[in-house]
Amino acid sequence: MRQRDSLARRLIEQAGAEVGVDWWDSVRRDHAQRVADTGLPSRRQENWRYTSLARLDKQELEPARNRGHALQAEDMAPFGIPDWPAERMVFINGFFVPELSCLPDSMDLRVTSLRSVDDPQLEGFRPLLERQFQSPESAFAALNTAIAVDGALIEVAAGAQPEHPLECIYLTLPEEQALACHLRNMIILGEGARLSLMERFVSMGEPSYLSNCVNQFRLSEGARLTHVRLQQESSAGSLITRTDVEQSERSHYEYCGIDLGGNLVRHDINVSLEGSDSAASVAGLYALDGERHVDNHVRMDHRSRDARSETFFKGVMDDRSRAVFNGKVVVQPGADGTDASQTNRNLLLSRQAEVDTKPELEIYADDVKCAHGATVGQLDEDQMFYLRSRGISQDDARVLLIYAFCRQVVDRLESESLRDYVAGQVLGHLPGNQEETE
Amino acid sequence: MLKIENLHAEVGGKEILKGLSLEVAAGEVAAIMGPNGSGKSTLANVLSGRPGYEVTQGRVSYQGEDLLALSPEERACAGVFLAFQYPVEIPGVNNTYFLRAALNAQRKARGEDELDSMEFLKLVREKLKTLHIKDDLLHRAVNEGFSGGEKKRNEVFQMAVLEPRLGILDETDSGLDIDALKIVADGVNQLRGEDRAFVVVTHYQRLLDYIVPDSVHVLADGQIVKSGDKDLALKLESEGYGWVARESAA
Ligand SMILES: Nc1ncnc2c1ncn2[C@@H]1O[C@H](COP(=O)(O)OP(=O)(O)O)[C@@H](O)[C@H]1O
Ligand SMILES: [Mg+2]
Repeated sequence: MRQRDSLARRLIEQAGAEVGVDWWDSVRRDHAQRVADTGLPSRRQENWRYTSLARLDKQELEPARNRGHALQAEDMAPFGIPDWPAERMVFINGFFVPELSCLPDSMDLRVTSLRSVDDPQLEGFRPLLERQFQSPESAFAALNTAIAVDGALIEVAAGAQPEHPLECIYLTLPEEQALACHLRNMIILGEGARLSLMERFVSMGEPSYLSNCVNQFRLSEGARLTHVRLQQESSAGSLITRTDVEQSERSHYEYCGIDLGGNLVRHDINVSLEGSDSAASVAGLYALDGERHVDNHVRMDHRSRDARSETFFKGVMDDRSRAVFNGKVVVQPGADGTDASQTNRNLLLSRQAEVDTKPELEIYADDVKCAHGATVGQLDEDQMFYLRSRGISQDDARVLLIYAFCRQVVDRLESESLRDYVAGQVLGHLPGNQEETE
Repeated sequence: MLKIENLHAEVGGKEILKGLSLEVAAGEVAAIMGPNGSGKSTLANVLSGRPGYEVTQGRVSYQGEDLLALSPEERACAGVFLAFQYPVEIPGVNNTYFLRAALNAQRKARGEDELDSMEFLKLVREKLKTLHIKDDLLHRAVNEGFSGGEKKRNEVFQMAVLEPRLGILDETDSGLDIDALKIVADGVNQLRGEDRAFVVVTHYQRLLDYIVPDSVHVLADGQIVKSGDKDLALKLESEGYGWVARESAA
């Protein structure tokens, strides 16, 4: 525990420098002090009960600095998605790289980086940057506020519907020292605006690092944000992310997150349904092997009338991997007409794999519809035999059934090109040669 | 083609097959009848290699090979096909995709070229047409939400595409109306030929009006207790199984 608290302190000290904007420096200092006081979360906190940060202790982390890189445009080719044109922001080791990015040139969709934003535009994001992360459980977000100097800033004008999706690629390259990268992404959608966002977490080689990213999305009335996340971090990389979504009336947030990589991964998704008749759908898939530990925490906060939310997560765990799912639906007083559902289904492929699943409901209103359920099971033997009895090998039958299980999440992706790509990534990742079950 | 000798098999520690012997020659259609619980499905499952069915004694040779030494998929690739009494639903796996994977796995095992999706679709459409089956089952997940009759039709359709050497039909006729019954019979009759054999498990003589068997066998309490020609089926239909049991006890 001590060692880890000193980690937070050391990162803050080393990152140190001021950004030169008074209010921003002030909020950075406050949060630095807060993290120094509380330290990083521990398993004594309910929200962190199943996820230990002990793995971070082994990494000699130091704060990432903007050191430049030697990549050419063609080095990014392996990350291309066929037939899927998109605007692109590339970040390497925690810093925006304009020369590898391809930014839109329009007033409808303003995309810039936190590091290069001018003061007047930054002012628009000030309420988000000044957001107070006070509880000890939010220490990573506080650390992010204290340290982060870069990230994506996106504004979509009222009524605008950009033609192409925006893709953010977070690439980590090996460095002599394990890096701690902090990105702060903020998106503001005007009334009736639309945006399709794709986040990708990738690496080259097998670097060891910690990325601690915070997303803050603000959706004005009638806005619609589609958010896809494809997480393929290095097996030695740790990723802590938090996505806070504030939704006004009639806005829609649709999330589809796929976790395939990483060593220690934690994602907190906090959706605040502040406006009536808003809707959120948060779906996720984790397909884990090796020693990976992936923890998804979803909180759906129904704060107004007639809002709908769906939380739908599926997971496949092989080898000695471990998954955690925690879904919480909170229906605040007065949030009548709430319609919320929550599902978590898990497939355990090995005896050493584990999952802790915990769907929770907290209801303070009367007229609500809430359904939840969680299951943990194994591959169905009758289905296996049926496939094999037709000539399909045991390994292929397993892959076919696991893939069928995963498809229910992948099929939610609207774009066919994206769906094909993600499906291919999932399929390529599935265990091909497992131990014999007979 | 198929020779079963003194077969003993257990399920869940309970002996179900108790010394069953049966021979089916190439070109032959053998009907197996018998009361509920006598072991008909157990026999079908043992022949196709279902895990959990343990053979404790006896031999099964198929085309001169030791069938029991093969895995389920190896048996399928060698031409054994089981039409299940209760086909399982497999949500998320498309029926066409599944069947092409199966056919190509078998072709590959036999050293034949795999079919691409266009070639496969052409083959599949032909089969559907000759069997008078509607093509909507191509687009659905394997057996998912299928009615009992649709599941049985899907089994026959798969058999038609995979063209097995030894087809085992486990009560494929149960619960079918007369039109569906004819589809099942067509499925068998169209494949029937000198180098193929069928084991048709049925409860009712009705199916045998359309698939005329070369031999009829009565399975009771884990053994074949009586064998005869198609007239035996007629007699069983009108007189029940009681007389066979009495005769074999005597
Ligand atoms: N999985 C199983 N576990 C235990 N007993 C079984 C199992 N399957 C079948 N049996 C038993 O084996 C006997 C024969 O069943 P089955 O072969 O299905 O008969 P049939 O198909 O002739 O009606 C029955 O007594 C049945 O209860
Ligand atoms: Mg039966």
